[in-house]
Amino acid sequence: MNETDFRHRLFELAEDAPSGSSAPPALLRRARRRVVLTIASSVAIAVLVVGMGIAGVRALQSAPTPADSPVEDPRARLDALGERWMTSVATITYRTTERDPGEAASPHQCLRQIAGGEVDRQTALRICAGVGELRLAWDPPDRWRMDAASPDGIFALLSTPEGRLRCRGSDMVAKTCVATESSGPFGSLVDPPALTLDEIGAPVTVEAGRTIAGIRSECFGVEGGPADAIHRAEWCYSGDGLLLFVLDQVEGGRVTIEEATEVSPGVSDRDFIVPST
Amino acid sequence: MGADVETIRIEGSLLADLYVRHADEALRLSYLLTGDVALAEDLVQDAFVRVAGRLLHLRDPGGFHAYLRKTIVNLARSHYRRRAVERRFLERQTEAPPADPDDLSDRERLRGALMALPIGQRTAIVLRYFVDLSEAQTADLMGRHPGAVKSLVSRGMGTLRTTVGVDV
Repeated sequence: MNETDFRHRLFELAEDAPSGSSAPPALLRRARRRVVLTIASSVAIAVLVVGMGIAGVRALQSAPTPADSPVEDPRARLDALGERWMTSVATITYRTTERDPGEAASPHQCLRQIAGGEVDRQTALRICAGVGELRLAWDPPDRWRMDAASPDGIFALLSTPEGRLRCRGSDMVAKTCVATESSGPFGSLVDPPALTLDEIGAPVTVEAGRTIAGIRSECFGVEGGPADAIHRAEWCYSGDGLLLFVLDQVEGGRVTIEEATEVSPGVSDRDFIVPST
Repeated sequence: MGADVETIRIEGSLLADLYVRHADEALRLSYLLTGDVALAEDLVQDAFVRVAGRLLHLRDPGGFHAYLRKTIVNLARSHYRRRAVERRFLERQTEAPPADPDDLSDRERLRGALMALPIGQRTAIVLRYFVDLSEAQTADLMGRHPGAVKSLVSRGMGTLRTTVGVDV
């Protein structure tokens, strides 16, 4: 049997196959169901993809991306965030840094300078590191409380509608509290930026935004004043107006920096119990 | 063909037309791969349903026939893989009496010899000598290397030479 014969025999054998002259109704039903199913699943997938795309675009548009979005008027934006801060309620812990002019250039040098003095080792370390911690219970305008452990010591400031108290130590013992008008060394946290801006009188610039305490922030700076006392300030706010970073520096003067490390919503009423005098 | 498929809707009449146009050739191919009328019909129907479901996604809608052919080959291969396990089990249970070659017609002998080939060899031979595909086309359809197809055909034809006297 040669190739031609073999092909011929194969064709003969194939003649035994049934004829497909008409499609069985059951087959057509199956095929139609399959087509419908395919179209339906394609449409569902398309709708899902489009829906997710739209949701994604909306999420991107509504997401607070302060640092990435251009600010047309930095001063207006800063004022708006400052105003929002004045109506926010939160408890925020800040890491603070304070340096005075003429201080030792390094913590090591500082420790050597105060060694043998009256301060204990822990206080000496805090003084020389220049860093401290501040807890702000913020519920303006009626009440706020600031507990600070800084190189200057431990103190608390309590502001209520009845007035403002400055207390030494952290336990608000009545004997150690005195009435005060001052906002303390970290007044930048509780004063609106407009005060500093009016004092410096220079245009506001947009600074690179960054993530502080896990929150994306938008930052602004200002620098100006007389040549021998350039005043520089910087603020970083979250999109909803929480103040996360403040820097205040006068050339040749004191530098204070507060940077949030922990943010929680709301305040506790216990923070605002006024000690009896 | 392309124009036909582009106008396909899910109405039964169009699907029926498509079936009538391609069923005969598909059934013959399926029958040569399976040697069983009922099985051949089942495979063609399954293949038709599958390809009909993918009509909207076919990269080349005009190639319905080629897709159908490829689906039949794949379904036959899957079927025989499944059957191989069953067959080995059944062979252990009962030894079928060998058929007397003198009692069979030439056509039956060829069918028996063809069906005795492994599915790969049988598919390669049917595609080459019945569907008349080239070695490259056969390789593409089977998802194998052309060299592998050549080897399958050669071994299959070698077996047929001894069983039914094919001299190709």
